[in-house]
Amino acid sequence: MRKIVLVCLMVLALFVPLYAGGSGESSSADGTVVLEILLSGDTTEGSPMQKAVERFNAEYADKGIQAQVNEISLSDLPTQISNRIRAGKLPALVKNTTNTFEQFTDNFYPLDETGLDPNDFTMNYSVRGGRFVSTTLNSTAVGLFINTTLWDEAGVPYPTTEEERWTWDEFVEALKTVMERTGCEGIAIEHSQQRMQTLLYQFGSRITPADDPYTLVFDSPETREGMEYFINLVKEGVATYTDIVGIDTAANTFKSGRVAAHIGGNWSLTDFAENITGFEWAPVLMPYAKEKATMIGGNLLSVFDGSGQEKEAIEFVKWFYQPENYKQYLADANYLSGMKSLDVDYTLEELAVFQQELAASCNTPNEDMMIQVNHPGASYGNTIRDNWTQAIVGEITVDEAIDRIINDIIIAYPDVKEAQ
Amino acid sequence: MKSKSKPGASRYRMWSFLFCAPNIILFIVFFLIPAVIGVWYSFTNYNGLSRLDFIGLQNYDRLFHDVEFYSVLLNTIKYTVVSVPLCYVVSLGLALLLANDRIRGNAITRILVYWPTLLSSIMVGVTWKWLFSESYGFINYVLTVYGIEPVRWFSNPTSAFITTIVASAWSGCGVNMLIFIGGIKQVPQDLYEAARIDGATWWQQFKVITFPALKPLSFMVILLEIVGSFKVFAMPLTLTNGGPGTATTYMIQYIYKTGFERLDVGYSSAVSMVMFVILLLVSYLQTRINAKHEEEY
Repeated sequence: MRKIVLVCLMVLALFVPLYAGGSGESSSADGTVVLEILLSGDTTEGSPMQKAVERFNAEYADKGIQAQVNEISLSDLPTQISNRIRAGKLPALVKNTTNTFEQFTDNFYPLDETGLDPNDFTMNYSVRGGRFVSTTLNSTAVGLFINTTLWDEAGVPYPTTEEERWTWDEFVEALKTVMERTGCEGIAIEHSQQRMQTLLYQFGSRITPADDPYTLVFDSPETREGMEYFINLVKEGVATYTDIVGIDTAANTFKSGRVAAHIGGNWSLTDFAENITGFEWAPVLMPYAKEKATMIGGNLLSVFDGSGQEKEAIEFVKWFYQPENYKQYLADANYLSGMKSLDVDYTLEELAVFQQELAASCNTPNEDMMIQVNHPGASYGNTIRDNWTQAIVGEITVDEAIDRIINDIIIAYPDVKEAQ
Repeated sequence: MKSKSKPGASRYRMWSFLFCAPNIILFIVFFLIPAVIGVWYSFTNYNGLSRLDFIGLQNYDRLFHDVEFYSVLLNTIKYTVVSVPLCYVVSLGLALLLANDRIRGNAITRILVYWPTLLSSIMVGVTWKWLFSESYGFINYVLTVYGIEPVRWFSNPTSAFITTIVASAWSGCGVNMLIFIGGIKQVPQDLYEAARIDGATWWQQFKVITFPALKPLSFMVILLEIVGSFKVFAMPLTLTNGGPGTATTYMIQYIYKTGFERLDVGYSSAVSMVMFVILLLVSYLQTRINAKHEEEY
């Protein structure tokens, strides 16, 4: 009998560490509540949240609340949140991408107690079912970077004002001249749904009509023209093949100095400013075909419902959005503001171009966002990017790519119908 | 006629069960229960968190009409058909070479061949990307230095496919080589001596003695390689990102994409179940073939 008890204890001993290992630590011995902020990409963007947390901790040292950053890889973020929701071991706060925000909307705690107004934020679609569940941490915008050393060497001018903004045909003509005169490669376009869809918007493409997020109008001459335009640019060798199909990273290609232009985003500014030393570069206004367009993106800050630290997390959000704290957060990483009408002293004056892009952009990207707003917990993923890439590679035709994209959207949102 | 169990046999059974209990519990908790849950999810529209409605065979119906699924399945079969024999031949060849104690430096060579096995799949992908990258890769740099036109390793679907195969063989053959060396060392030396006395060549010795002696190990290595090839994920993801297009997109990446990017966990579970059935059939067939061969001997 003693042996049986011994064996049972051994089995038990095997599981006790497993259980203990899984338990989170949310408060210290002196009763101080420690808030965990789950995020990714903070270090590569200049550690702005880590710096904000250090300022918060210094200010709240005697108030029983402290915060700590838990940085994980971006690809692990949805899986970790999902697993921690199931295990009931939630972090207090999370820096959401738009994807994780859509996925976990139902799990966020209302932010009404913060006294903040959702309409003050750039991504104000974060009010769901009458609940204000997320604030915009920072905004991002798609933009065009050029290697000014190459353009100056070729003697080709580039736009500095809204009036001088290129059409796509003018830009490609200028780009070809730079390529001819300097021997460089053309444009490195980032393999990303946000960046690639921005180009489609510039050709007048849209997913749904402005006033009807349940009807698909993606199958249009504009979408077809946009897709074919860039397929031809790749065929002609003007757009670099390995970047747009996702084999290489377009930002790295641009940093190498081999290409004259790059479609990327404002988040690359800090990286380029710190790491490009061999040539001069600048963001310039993006070309347009039918519409001037950039896709606003960004990150959202949410408080988890069920962490047991909701009140303290709300206190952190209130502190975070006090103008001096929030401005410092934005300035530390040269982020575009997530709050409307906020003057920030940026160290990089190049950000002004992205603010100009946001101001000039058509409203189609925001209108298309409504299809996602109306379907929380569902997503069509990167189907536009992936199928368009297959068409670029030549695996499928543009028509097949459009059909597949529509099919994927309808599978994700079964109540959405294609326009007749 | 009923067989009577010996006195005390049930007590031994209980003890053997108790000793196996930790393993059985871990198997149930981490394999059996998730597998049953996976089967259940495949009949639902589960989105990974909140929505979970029973939808019958809809996911399977959709799957069998999904062109992308067939394309990815074909890629995975092509990858398996090429990489498994390559890995097997390379592992066996290295084992035959390095099991020979007369070869100088075979211990250090074994370590060098085994070393890539210790790397994570992601590291393997990153390492090979640094070697073969079209813009900053070492191989293209060397070619350029010697005035040779750089090769578009990843832009061309065939060369991208070959690169993933070679990287897979490089990272996977170390373990199999050690298994084969162990097997070769177990073959009685007097068989070789007798064969040599009879004037058998090296090839004849290999064909008649070594290869048949390694059949049980070969069965295991091939089976494990087939399962591993079907489940390949991180290495091609970091090396080619599944491209160009979908040229190197394999089953697990497709399951990941549908499950996590499109939040279609029900559908991705159905794909997993199809993969499970394929692997089960392959394992069954291979076991039957192996059993038949053993009977012949």
